[in-house]
Formats: sequence, structure tokens, C-alpha cells
Amino acid sequence: MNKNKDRRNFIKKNLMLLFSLPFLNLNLITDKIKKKLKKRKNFIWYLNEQD
Amino acid sequence: MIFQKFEDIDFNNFPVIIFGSGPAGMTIALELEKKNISSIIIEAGDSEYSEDSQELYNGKIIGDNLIDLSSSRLRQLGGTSGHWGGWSKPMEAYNFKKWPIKKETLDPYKKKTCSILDIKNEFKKTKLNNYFNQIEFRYSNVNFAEKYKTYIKKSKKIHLILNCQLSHFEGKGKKILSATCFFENKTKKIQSKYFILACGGIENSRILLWTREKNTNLINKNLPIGEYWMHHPWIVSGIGLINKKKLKKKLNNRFIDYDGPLHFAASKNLIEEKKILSAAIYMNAKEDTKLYKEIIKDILCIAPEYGKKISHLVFKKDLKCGNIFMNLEEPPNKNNKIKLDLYKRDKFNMPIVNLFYKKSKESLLAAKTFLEEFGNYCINEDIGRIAAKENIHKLDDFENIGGFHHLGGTNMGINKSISVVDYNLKIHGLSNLYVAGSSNFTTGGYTNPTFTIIQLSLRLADELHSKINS
Repeated sequence: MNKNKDRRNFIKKNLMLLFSLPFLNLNLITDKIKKKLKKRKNFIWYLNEQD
Repeated sequence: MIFQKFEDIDFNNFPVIIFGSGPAGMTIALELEKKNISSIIIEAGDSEYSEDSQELYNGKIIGDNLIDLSSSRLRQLGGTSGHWGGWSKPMEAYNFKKWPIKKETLDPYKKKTCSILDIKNEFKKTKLNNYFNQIEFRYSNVNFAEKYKTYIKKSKKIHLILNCQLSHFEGKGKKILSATCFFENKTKKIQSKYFILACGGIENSRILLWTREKNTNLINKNLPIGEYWMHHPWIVSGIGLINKKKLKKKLNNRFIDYDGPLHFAASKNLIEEKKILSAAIYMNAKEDTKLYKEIIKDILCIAPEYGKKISHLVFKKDLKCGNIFMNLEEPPNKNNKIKLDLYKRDKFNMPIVNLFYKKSKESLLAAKTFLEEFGNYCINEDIGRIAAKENIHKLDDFENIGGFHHLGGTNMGINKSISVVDYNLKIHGLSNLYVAGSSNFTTGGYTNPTFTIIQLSLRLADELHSKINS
């Protein structure tokens, strides 16, 4: 009985973690788009840090 | 009909005299004809361009640089439509915020305006996000002189007199009784029931200022004639590249004119949230190959990873790459104004114009904010990369490369201390003098003015029709 309950809790916890991942990922992606400015020939380029 | 001599005309047969044969004046005459009302158009220039005629448009610009007043407008039949670019589009609803009319007031005239300009009555708009829309201009090839000269010659209701310079109006109380003109070195007084001043964004103010000088009690001395003059800056604001294929996919195929030029305009949200004036960007349909190569070289140097990503698109039609042009709005400013020169007069003994003009920091801020936000949009959606000119980014300055749109000076409004004409384009305090054209604009916008000028002129013809029939 206790074993089953533990397993259920384990699955529940992991499912919650799994469902929350896409949101986490989205946040990570948004954070990743760090803007940077770069100057070349009197022009200021609006760039992504990974560009 | 085109009259050669004043003696041939019985002015009693013409309830409306229109001064100026540009898009505004000609539209009014054409529309009055449809309503069975005869009118005379009086044009200061000839049917063709001439240097001598243009010289009479000389004026002094005091302050920031603008294209010379004798080259930015045309003193001839058809007015400035003789050299316009044809960009046509109704103004945005949010541009009418300070006007006494709304966009809906002019919407009923949209179809007729398109027919006058020989353009399709369709102006697509696709939302990019909360801040930007892809928009569409129509390009008119109509030169009013070419399109309507033969028509006017044959018309029994529209009569034209060329080479006749309007000097000023005369009247009594609230009524204009006559207009004083110069024709073949003689002074002529023209009488009519209604007078329409449609001489353009500089001359309308000049004639009214001169009329006020000549008749001290006719026009209210507090009317801000010539003030709140505005320009419509056209600038190169930056460079950039846009992955059209990706953008088209993002817009679910609602991309407007894939092979044509690109137009993106600020939405009402951007303007209100960032508290900026309206602005729009434009990229040519046809790329300049040298500039294209330079931009690709630049992007490979400063953003090599991004460069690699778009390398397969280089020189394909899916990648737009080139200058970013910008149409800007200028705020109405009391100090930007037309005044009469106290010392210098033209051959008709009329004072030449002094135009006091300073570029607006607000327009510069709109350009910078627009580019920054559009740059962010390009990064977030990965549809391209753009760059702003350093002087715009630093809010130092911008360089006007166009100077052909003269707005304000007889602006429309209810409050007589900050406007010259009323809701019906009639001069405050006078019963029979109306003004047509871009000088009536209360505020500008990113949109080119001719479409709105014609809509306003059609509406004025309706007003005259109801007055004459009442």
C-alpha cells in the first residue's frame, strides 16, 4: 500500500515537473534573446547576442 | 472651356471661383460640375512648366534646411501634381485625434478619390504584432494637367483662366466681395458668391496674410494664419535585411505584395504606449546591388552566426536587403510659420514668403523608438536584422531628403486662437471664403497628403452644393 502511494507520488511529482518544463523552456528562450548593439560604418545594428 | 480674355467672361454666371488648379482646386471644380454648378478655376501659372513662373515661388527659408520653395512646388496647371510621386493612401484614424473631423467623416469620399487618382480602392493592412502593421500604398500616375486639360477645354461647367495671379481678397463685414488679380499687366477685380483658395501649402497662407494686410478689418487679426506649419520628413533612417519568406509564413500568407516594396507602419498601440508621433518605414522593391553586397558583408562581419543562417537566401527574392527609408510626422508648432517678407516683393508687388522652420525632436524620437522596437521585433521573430543611423540612435539629428509636402498654416479647428478654418473649411469669421488643400491639415501623419487633400476637397464641394442650393 505504502509502496504504491510512494510510486503514485513519484509519478505525480515528475508529471508536474514535465508539464512545467515547456513554460520553463519558454522563459529560458526569452532570457536567451539578449539584445546587443554593434556599431559599423555609422550604423547601430540591433542584434541578438548569439548572432 | 479655357478663357483667353477677361472680357469674355460674365462672372455673374459663376457662383464659385477657385484659385489654384492643383489636385484640390481641380477636384472641387470636377465635383461641382457633377452637381450642375459652374465654376471658374484661376491658375497663376501657364499650362506648361516655365522657369519665369517658378521664380515667382521664390521664398526665404529661415532655420533648418528644406528643399527650396521654388523647386518643391509647381506654379502651373495641375499644380504640384506635375511632379508628385503618386503615393496614395487614406490617413490612419489615430492621426485625426486633434482634428475637428474623424476619419469616418472622410471615408465616404474614398471611392471617388480612388477614381480621380486612377487607383484601386483597396488598402490592405496586416498586423505584425501589437506595435506594427504591414501596410499598402497605391501608386497613382495621375498628373492633373495631363488627365484633365482636354476635359476642361470641352467642359461647359468648368472654366479655366491661366496666367492670372491672385493678389488678395476685398470685402465688407463678414463677406468677401471680390478678389484682386493681375492678368496681362492689368489689375482685375473678380466678383462671385463663393471664393475657394486652393493655391497650396505656402501660397494659401501668403494670400491670406496679404489680404489681412490690405484690409485691416476683414480677417480676424488673431487668427494664426501661416502658423503651425508642418513638414512631412522623408529620411534614410537605417539599413537592414528582412527574411520575407519567414515573415510570410508567420503572417499566415497575409503578406502584402511579396515582390513589391515593403511598408511597415506604427500601430496606435506603439504610438500611445511609447508616446511618439506616427512613423512608417519603407524598403524599395528593387534592390541596389552594391548596397545589398555591402549590407551582407557588414552582417557577416558583425553577426557571423546570423550571416551563416541567412547565407542560403543571399540574392534570392526572399531576402529584402537595402536602405530603410522613413516617413515621419511633425507636430504642429506655433513657431514654424509663414510670414510675409517686410522688404522683398515680387513683380506683382506682393511680399515674398519667409518660412521659419525647425526640425522637431519629437519626430527624431519617433524614428529612434520605431527602429528600436522594430529591431526587437526582427530579433524576437527572427525575421531579419536592422540597423539605425548613428545620428538617429543618439537622437542627434536627421537629414530630410524630401521636402515636398507642405502642411498647415490655415489649419482646421474649432478654437479660433489655434485654427484658421472651421469644420467646413470656411475661414473663421467670414461667410464665403473657403480654403482647400494641405494647409488645412490640423496634424500630419506618416501618410502622404494628396489622398486626404482630395477627400477634403470632395467634401468641400458637397458643402458648397448644399450652400448654393439652400
